[in-house]
Amino acid sequence: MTQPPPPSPWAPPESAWSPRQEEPQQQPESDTAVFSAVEPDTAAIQVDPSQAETAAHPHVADRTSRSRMPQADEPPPGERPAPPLGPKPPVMLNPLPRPPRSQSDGYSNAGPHTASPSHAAPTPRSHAAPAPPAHTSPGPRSHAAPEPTEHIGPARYNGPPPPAESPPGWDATQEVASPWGAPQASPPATAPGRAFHGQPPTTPPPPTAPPPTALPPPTTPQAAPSQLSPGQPPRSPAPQPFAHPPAFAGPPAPPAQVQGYQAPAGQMPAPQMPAPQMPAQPMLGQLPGFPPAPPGHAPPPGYPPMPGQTPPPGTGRATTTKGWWRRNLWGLIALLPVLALALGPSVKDALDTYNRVDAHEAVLPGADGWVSYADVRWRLVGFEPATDLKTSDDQPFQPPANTKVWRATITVDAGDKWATDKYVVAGCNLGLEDSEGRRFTANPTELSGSAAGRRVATCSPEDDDTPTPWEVEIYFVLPESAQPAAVRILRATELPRYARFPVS
Amino acid sequence: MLLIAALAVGGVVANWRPIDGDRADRRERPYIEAGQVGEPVSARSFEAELVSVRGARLLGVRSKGYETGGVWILVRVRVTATTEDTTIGYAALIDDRDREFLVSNRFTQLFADGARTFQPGIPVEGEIAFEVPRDVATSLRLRLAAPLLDQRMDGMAEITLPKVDTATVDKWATQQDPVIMERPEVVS
Repeated sequence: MTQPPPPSPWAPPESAWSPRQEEPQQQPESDTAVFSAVEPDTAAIQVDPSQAETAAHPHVADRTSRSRMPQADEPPPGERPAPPLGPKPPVMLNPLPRPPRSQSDGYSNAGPHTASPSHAAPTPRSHAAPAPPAHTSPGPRSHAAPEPTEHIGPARYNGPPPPAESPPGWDATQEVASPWGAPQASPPATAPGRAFHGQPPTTPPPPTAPPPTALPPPTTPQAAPSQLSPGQPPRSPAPQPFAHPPAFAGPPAPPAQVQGYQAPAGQMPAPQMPAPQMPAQPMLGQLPGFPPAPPGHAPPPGYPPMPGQTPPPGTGRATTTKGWWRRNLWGLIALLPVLALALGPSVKDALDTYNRVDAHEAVLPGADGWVSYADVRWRLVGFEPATDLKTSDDQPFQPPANTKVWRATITVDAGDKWATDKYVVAGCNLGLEDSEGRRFTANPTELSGSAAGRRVATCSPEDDDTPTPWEVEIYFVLPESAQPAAVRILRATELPRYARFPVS
Repeated sequence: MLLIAALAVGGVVANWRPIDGDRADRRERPYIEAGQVGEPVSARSFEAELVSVRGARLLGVRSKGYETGGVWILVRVRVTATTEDTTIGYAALIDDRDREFLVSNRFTQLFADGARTFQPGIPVEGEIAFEVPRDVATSLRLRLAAPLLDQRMDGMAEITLPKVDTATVDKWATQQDPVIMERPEVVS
């Protein structure tokens, strides 16, 4: 059986109505009942009507709601005492789910962020028996101490001590193991009666977290409908708003902000705690906001100087460009043969075409007037206007109007090849170039009707038995105003070379 | 990797280069310069100027007559070579439907047979004979070029012939007297 706690100085006088005097007889605690373990707490809450405001805490409200589960030995609703007059119990805001727990979990009043039963120490419940010596230590939550928040605290941790690495100002008792795995931290702002075992914090509480006494009175003192049967009166007496007992003169819990934690609805938001200052790591001055690189640190070759560093004299953009060429040296070298392979065929084709269709390499005569071209020696022996042309019937030939006929005499020396090769000069082309670069052919159509016009312009002699060297005589018809510049001898097999005899 | 990619792209471009295909004729068409009667029109290696046009049913060339069921069109052209000696290897009449009527090969044409050479700066006038249907003789264009076989991507002169009415064409096609074709001559 649950024994009533010792008289608390915060307890109301005996004359006040207290369901605690009746509830223990009506609801004997059962070790097998999951929710019976929290029933005494509920009773404790109901003992002191002045702490009804604290019952508005979700944790407390949750316990209260669970404590209203019908028990086997609970009298029927009709036998319950009449609800007391006065304000109704506060509304239970956002009750957090809580897994069922056994009585032997080692937690006297477990909240949603309590350790799993496997981690529980076999500590007897604080209210199931007279306070054991361990609970008589002078602590704010000890049952032995007249601490007003003893019965309203949502959780009390009796397990292993919290890690010593907790940041300053953080209540180590708030870090408890979660029954779902990773340890979590209980919201400190939602535990006004939580014991504070650490040093008094130096950070004052934020203005957004007023003391519990500043909380407004409950506006809906009706219990949750889902927890009451239709027509069932509330079991708890109407809690009265009360002022926070002044016995706990210690500072409030230090503000703490647990990452990922969101305060339940109806609770005051947890104050923001500044992020812990991490030791700055030198980042070699590459990023803004980081300290510059140490003086001895130098960037890799080819990279610009780092911020905060003075580039060496004579370096800068030129150094960067030089570094780029240095880094890509082998790639650039490998690119040369690739370019040659890619462009070579096209360039060769273009050059072959250019050399095949046009003669642009002149072979000029030497001091003696001879030119060695196409395995034959050539010499221009005469170039003059032809004014004595005759027709086929030996009559004077009159050239076309506004034209002028020029005669060129060329000596051809085929040498020893002439004896064996009569085609050594076959296919030669004789032409004349004027001062304007215009090119004329020999023995043109304009000489038709003359003896010269009937003769094909060729480099070969009239008779193959003619000994070498021999002479050929050719005629050109130019506009009267044109000025001859050079006689050209060309063989298609010698392109782009040709023999050129200047005449001006 | 970049080199291989560059070579691959170059190979694709080289293979894609449009040498042959359906649009080769249009892509490699000659550079045509158009003109009217009385003005010189360039064909790159020479300049041509249309002097006159006449028609006939019977054409006399070197004492021989050549009769046609359509009509003979004789155009007199003055040709002057520009930079080098050249020839007229291509001569044709184009009708309004872009049909091409090549120079007649029923006889040797001294002016446009591809054998007559023209010296730079020496103008030569001559007649070119075409044999065309009577219904297209009213509107024709003359095209001249130097190459004999391949006129692609080379200069070509196009001169629009004067418009003639059907009555004139009928008169050409019904006249009994032969028209003697003139020989080319150098003009001043």
